[in-house]
Amino acid sequence: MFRFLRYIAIFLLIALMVVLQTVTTRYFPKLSSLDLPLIAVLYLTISRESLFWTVFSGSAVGFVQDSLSPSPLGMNGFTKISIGCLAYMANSIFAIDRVATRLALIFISSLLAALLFSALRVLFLNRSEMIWGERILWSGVVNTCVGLPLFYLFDKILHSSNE
Amino acid sequence: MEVAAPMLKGFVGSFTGLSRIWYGYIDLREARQENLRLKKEIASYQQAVVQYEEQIKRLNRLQTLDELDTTLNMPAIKARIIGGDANQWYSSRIIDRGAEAGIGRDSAVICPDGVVGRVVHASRRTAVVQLVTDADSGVGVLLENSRAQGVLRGEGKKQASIDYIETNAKVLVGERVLTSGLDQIYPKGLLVGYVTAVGKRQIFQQIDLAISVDVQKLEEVLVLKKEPQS
Repeated sequence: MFRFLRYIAIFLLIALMVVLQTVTTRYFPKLSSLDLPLIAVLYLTISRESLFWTVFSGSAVGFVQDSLSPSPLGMNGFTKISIGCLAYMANSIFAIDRVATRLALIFISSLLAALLFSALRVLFLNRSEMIWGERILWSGVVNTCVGLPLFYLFDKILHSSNE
Repeated sequence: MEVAAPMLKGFVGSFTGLSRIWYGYIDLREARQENLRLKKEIASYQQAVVQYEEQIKRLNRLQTLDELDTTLNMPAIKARIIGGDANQWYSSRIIDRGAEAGIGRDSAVICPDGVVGRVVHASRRTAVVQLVTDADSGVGVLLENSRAQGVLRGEGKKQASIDYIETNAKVLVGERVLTSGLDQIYPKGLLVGYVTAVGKRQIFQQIDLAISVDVQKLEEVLVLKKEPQS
């Protein structure tokens, strides 16, 4: 029963992040660099400590994100899974459970996700420009500022559903 | 009697005074309660006024869309924007009408200020609109005075540029940019924006323009139904 509740909470979390992403960018265009689904994938990766959750959440979030934007299906899923796997490896080495390590994880993952997505656009969509330097950096800063408190909020929600 | 009367007067006087204080206190309490109730009522009326004002603004916007609909003389559907970009690298909007209402891929989306974008995915009840400001979008355009034709390319912001305008075309700053209709998505003659800068390059000119639609403030749009291809 508890496990079932936990799964429900995780599904809701994933759905909520994608919905919030579209609502946030609609009403707060300055937060368009925010990537809430990526934050959810990173959190599930380090909290569940299982590659299954990384691949599952990454592909689910990516699929929904792609279907709600003009991007070709699979681009977001590939990016999220790749970054999630890197986060999984980092977690197995550094045990990411403190403020500093979480901060570094979100910031670096956001930069890598943006770079990877940009590279995919160049490779597969024939886009000429590769990096939008300032925008990528801004994305890292925004995701870190929002992601860190969200990680603690997720801790509270998912741990309370465990109890 | 002489002895009791002053005492009686004093007693009655003090009783009257006490009862005045008591009733004053009661009145004050009632006045306070009434004050609170009236404040609540005023707040609810103010809320209602705000809601009515919003309704009036919405009706005005819908009326403008209706007028646009009648001038276009094409099958069109009004839709409300319900979501923004799901992905930071694209400029898109989600609308509340989909395939069920006759919207399909490449349906043009417009508003009274000009061209908004085109539908890229349509589910049963919603659709994703790629905005003209998106870096991957392309719109066939022509310049109103010079009649030179080119392709508009979004830059992710309110600014965009036009490719493939030859250097011998006389383009003026402030000139209106309209859809050419050659992309077979947007009907000819819809406003897209205004030229903001003109620069010379080797073969083609560098033309920057400001998009006429403020996509951040968009709430309702008109989706042109795609005619079934024979």
